[in-house]
Amino acid sequence: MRVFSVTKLANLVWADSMFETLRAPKDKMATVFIDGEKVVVPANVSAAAALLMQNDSIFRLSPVTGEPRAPFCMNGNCYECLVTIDDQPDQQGCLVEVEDQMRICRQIEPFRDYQSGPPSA
Amino acid sequence: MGRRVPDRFDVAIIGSGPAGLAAARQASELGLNFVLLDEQRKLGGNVYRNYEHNAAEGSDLANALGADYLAASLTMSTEFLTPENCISGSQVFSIDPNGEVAYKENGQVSTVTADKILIVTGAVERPMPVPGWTLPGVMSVGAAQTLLKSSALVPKGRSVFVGSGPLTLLVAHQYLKLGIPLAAIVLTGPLFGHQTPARSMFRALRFSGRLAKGFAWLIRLLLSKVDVYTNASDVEISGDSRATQVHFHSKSKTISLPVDGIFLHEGVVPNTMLAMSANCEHGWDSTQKCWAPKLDGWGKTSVESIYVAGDSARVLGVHAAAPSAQRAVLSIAADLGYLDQGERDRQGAAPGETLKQEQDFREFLDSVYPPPSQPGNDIPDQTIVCRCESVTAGQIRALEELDCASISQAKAYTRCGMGPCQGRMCGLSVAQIMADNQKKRIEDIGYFRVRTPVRQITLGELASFSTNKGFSILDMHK
Repeated sequence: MRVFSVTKLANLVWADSMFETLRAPKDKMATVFIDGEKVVVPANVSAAAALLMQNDSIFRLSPVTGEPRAPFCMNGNCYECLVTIDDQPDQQGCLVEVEDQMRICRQIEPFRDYQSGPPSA
Repeated sequence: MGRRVPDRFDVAIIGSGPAGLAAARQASELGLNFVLLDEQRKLGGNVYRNYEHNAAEGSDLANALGADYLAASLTMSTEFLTPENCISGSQVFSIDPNGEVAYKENGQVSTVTADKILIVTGAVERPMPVPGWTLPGVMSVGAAQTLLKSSALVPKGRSVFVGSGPLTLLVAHQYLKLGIPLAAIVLTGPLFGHQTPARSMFRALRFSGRLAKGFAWLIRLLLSKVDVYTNASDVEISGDSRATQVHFHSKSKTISLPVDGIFLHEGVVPNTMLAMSANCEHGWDSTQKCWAPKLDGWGKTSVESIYVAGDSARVLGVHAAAPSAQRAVLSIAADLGYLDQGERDRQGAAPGETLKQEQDFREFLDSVYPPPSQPGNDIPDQTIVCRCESVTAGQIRALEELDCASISQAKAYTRCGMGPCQGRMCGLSVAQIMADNQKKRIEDIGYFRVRTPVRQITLGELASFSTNKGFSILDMHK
């Protein structure tokens, strides 16, 4: 099995967001915190969409291999959009609408390879 | 708990897409006491997602979504819904034959009980595992359309669509109308689809408007700057921590394209999670290559209290959703004594006729855009099939040497299907790989055993649940 090395974490930054919004600036906006950083996004978009609008839109690391993952289906089926919302981990970001002051955190803690056995003392 | 809903209903309708809304309307007209539940806060399902916002806008987006979308105002007028009979933003994670429906909403678990349950949870996209499809930057075409409808998000940079089916062409068309430049469309079939038998072509002529529309999409696509590749095979996506290139064979050439975003699509299949979890009998649909619940002519499953309609019964598309749901509700009303059998048959005749015509049209679509013919063998060994547990096609194939013949064994040996998605993204592919590899029929391989809860719930959410009936949802699979 290919295990994504922790050293590659530094390269996880996307050059640019894959998406842009068609919404007019006059639309209602919401202030959310993504990994603690204050961001203004259109109101009523999903938490996953809010994250996809950012430049660095990797959502989580696979708990099995440590590879970076991002949403695939946006429809509640693939569970690749799992994020921590208001301190509750593993929320389906595509099914939750942003609310003002919502705290969204990507799940990218350094990967621990539990499958290779317990860490040596 | 916040919301006060009555304890007992005649029917619980799960899903508020075109089928669910038609079912609720029909139930209300027949005087049934119904409750409607949906995962999304806003009703309309995937087809009419965020309808009120998008239709009201009168913007480029409304124009791009098209006349059919905007014409749904009757479907979307929901004067029969009240806070007491409409529970939106709630994930149903358990149904049982006694009519108990358990759902979570804002971190709380609650139940409603109904004499009958109607599952109208629609379709999901057929998984399309290709090497590299787990890389960030790879999404489904359905995801692209969801982002467009719900969040007005469109891809920028070099985007490529890969796959087949009407949805691929529809979303490409919507992007063209919005002036979003796709870099390329890579079709896994011929440009105008596969050859269709004269008989189904002839029957489809009744829907000349729809044929003309599809034809117009293709012509517009060909006249645009979008590169169109046909009969593509051996699709592979590469990149380090995100997708940067897509490779494929087309017309005996190997082509590599630089990309910023890739969108995959190979058609849709019924969402069978709830019906399977309730032990409704399912069978293999060899035309649409998917599992579907076994139903009587009115949508009743092998479990007396459970009905399925719309695309979650069989993929027939948006126009079949309402007639299929109306017939199911008529039959439910007859079961409950609101109608006699003769009246059910009389009122069900017209929707039944519409449904038959839609089946004819779908037969045509299925022959033009057939599902992959040998989907299992086409998946290279290194491809991750189960995304949650990162299990590859090669690992599934290697099980043959271990005499592993059933999909449940495959799950036990490799953990495929044991992650948070509960096999939604790999169940079909794993079975197809095993069937092709072991030269067996997919019916003999089967599908994962789907169990309650079909959505993740936390212990905290479970603990929040209390009823005077006790924890009956935990007892149902004893």
